[in-house]
Amino acid sequence: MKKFRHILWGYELTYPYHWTHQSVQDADAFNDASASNDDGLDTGQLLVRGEWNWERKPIEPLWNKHIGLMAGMIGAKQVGSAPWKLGEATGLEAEIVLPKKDNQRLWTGILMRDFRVLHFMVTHPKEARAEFEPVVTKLISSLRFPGRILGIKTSREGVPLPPRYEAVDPKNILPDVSDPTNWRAYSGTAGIGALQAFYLREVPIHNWDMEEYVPFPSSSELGFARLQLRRSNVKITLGMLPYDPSGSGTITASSPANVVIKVS
Amino acid sequence: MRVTVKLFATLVRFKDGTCFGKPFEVEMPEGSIVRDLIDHLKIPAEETHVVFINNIIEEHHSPLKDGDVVGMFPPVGGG
Repeated sequence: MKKFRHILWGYELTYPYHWTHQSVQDADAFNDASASNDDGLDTGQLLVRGEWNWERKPIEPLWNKHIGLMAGMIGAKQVGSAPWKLGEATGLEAEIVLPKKDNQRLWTGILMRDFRVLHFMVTHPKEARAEFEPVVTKLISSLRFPGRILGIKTSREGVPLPPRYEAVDPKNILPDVSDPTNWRAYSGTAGIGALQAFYLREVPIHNWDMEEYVPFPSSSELGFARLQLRRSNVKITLGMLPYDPSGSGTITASSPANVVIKVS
Repeated sequence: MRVTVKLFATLVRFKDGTCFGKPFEVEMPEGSIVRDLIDHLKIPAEETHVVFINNIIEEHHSPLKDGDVVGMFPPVGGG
């Protein structure tokens, strides 16, 4: 068995050696590689996607939105949902009835744990159910939320850095900054919600006191997420600055963000 | 049992003489949970949006044990 750890969302799944994992935009896909043909159509798949829920919205409206989106995408007609609990996470699940001509079976569920909501979607050909379902059920049941994840890199001041974020000239992200030597900047593509989940978990573990936190999105007009951290005499202002790569004009909790740090 | 509490951002107003993250000790009955501690400190539950026990995010129903360090943070701290 192989272990997958999502360092930002802070969950792990254990999956069979003959399965593959692939990051697809803001989701993670797990496939039974041994069952796939050249075009990948005959294989089953599990998709997992995280959502930031700092407002602690109840599960029902999140579920209705999730189901509504899925139904709109795939033309499902009947959805009956049931409570779902896995470890300390709670949520809802449903088997979605697809149009009869569709040979796929679709199951979906969402699970909530503190400020994180994980969206699960399982698809597989109907004839593969007997083989596929027990394996994917075991895979999903392996879900854990480890309190600590080892191997997190830090800045020279000891501030945790998200994976696959590269140090860049602060002026590339903050062109107007007048004291660039006091700033660090890191460029990456993780969603600002996932980044906030990462920092909320890692900041105290790295012995920083979180003196202030302005989440994004929130009622604040700040337009980005900001953390004020203190450790001994070092004070850090950490900004997660969302950007709009598609130029759609819409910034959400899923929008990618860069990270900037000001040392005081 | 005795736990150490740290209040952050606007929550410091619920404890006289404290400041951001300054730890203070609280004596709690055995078997207490986070919610009992919040009630003991007379903090409205909805204001303790995130609770850390020994630096790990926990929930209001999480149990406390002797020696725990409990940090509390409001929904939004700062502007």
